[in-house]
Amino acid sequence: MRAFRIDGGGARLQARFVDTPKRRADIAAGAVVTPGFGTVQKPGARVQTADDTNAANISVMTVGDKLWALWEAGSPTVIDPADLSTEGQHTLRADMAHMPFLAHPRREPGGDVWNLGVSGSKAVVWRLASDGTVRAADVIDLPRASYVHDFSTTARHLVIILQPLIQDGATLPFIDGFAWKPDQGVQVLVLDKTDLSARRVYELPTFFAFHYGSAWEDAGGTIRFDVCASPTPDFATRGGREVLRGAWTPTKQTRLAAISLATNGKASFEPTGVVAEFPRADGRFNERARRFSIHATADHDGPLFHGLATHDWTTDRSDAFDFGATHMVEEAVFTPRPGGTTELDGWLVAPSVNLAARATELHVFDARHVSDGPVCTWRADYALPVSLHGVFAAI
Amino acid sequence: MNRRDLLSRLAAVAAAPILAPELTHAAAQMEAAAAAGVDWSLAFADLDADHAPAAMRLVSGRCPEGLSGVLYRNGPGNSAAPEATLATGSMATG
Repeated sequence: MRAFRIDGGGARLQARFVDTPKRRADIAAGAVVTPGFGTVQKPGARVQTADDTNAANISVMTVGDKLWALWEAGSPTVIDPADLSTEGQHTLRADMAHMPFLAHPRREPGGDVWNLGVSGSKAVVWRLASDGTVRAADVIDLPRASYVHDFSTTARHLVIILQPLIQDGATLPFIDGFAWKPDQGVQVLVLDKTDLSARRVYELPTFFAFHYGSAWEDAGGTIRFDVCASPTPDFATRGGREVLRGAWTPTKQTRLAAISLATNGKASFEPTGVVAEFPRADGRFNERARRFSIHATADHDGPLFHGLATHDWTTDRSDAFDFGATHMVEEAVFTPRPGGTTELDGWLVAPSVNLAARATELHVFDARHVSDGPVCTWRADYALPVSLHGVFAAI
Repeated sequence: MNRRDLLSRLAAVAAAPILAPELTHAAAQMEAAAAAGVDWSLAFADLDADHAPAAMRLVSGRCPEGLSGVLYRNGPGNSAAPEATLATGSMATG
């Protein structure tokens, strides 16, 4: 977990390991013995529940005056935001201990949080108050046992995208239990927040994606949201391990697309061609109609990302800045300008690893003028490995 | 399947050792760049220890007035322990 503290015109950086049972077991054994996404359990592992394998290393959210470090197959881990110390795994509700809880919860404008926990063709639908209290945790059936990393919400609906990467066995390691079935297309399950039994299922052409933007309903009731999609899940199922055996095959970058789900059952997937991942938005527009997406980008199919961009859906214009090949750019998070109310009136805050300087940097952009380049950049004395997801907490 | 069985299954270890494939993706892309002659390994270097809070150096521009807060970010800190990567292919473990 990292904290970039911007205060008084300066910035400070701290990084601290989350003290998980998995990390303690691995340290005690002197090796990675606890099973993971692509690993099987080894002698020395101490595993009784999913939370014994919980790495707490995908994303972070603010809950009351605490941070929750999120994984996706187990409980949140509570972190003290003041010093990043670990307070422990949090049982959301006693009868639901160790249930899966995705790393991409959705916060309503009123503060309530929706999330899923997915296992096979079953899912827990979590609804939490802003202080983390569980309002409801209902188990639902999914039409298929897809790999689910993220989902979306509108003011009235949950939108669950079920890709044709489908679990068809309990094989370990985990990822080997999934099969890519492109002829089956993508299904989108839409549930009414007030009645989870009220469901619609849409059909879309095949794609693979990890991440979606916040969704909304337009005046005609059509659900709209953005996605960073690739034609296949090769990088998830194959590329990572192949490369360790020296057999790398290039994979396509994910690209930004718009999805719409009309009330008459018609669904569309409209690609932009823009390389994009880590989609975000001005959080004040969660579940509301919005004009812009924020995303990491690159100018070609290549390794990770070295730029940031906003995408204007009304003009299809991309406002992008390219740091060049020596920067590994991470996800950008928006924070509003005090007193401002219009969309993107504020800043994008994003780290990068500057390979030439061998240091982690923190960049601030005017969110409405990304192509102008950073408003300011700070540099640490050292480099941290690239991180995944973050949240900005204003002081 | 009754509710108790379902909850047991959802919490079971066999169904749960997930780590987001995005980590795998990221590592794979980095390795691809390395193969093309650019050393990106720094962006995936393991951390040996925590880093205490320390000032970052302003290298360009000026912090905009009105911007203050904390960017919290999460991600793997120990993604390439040799035992794990070489023996089993794990890309992200800590």
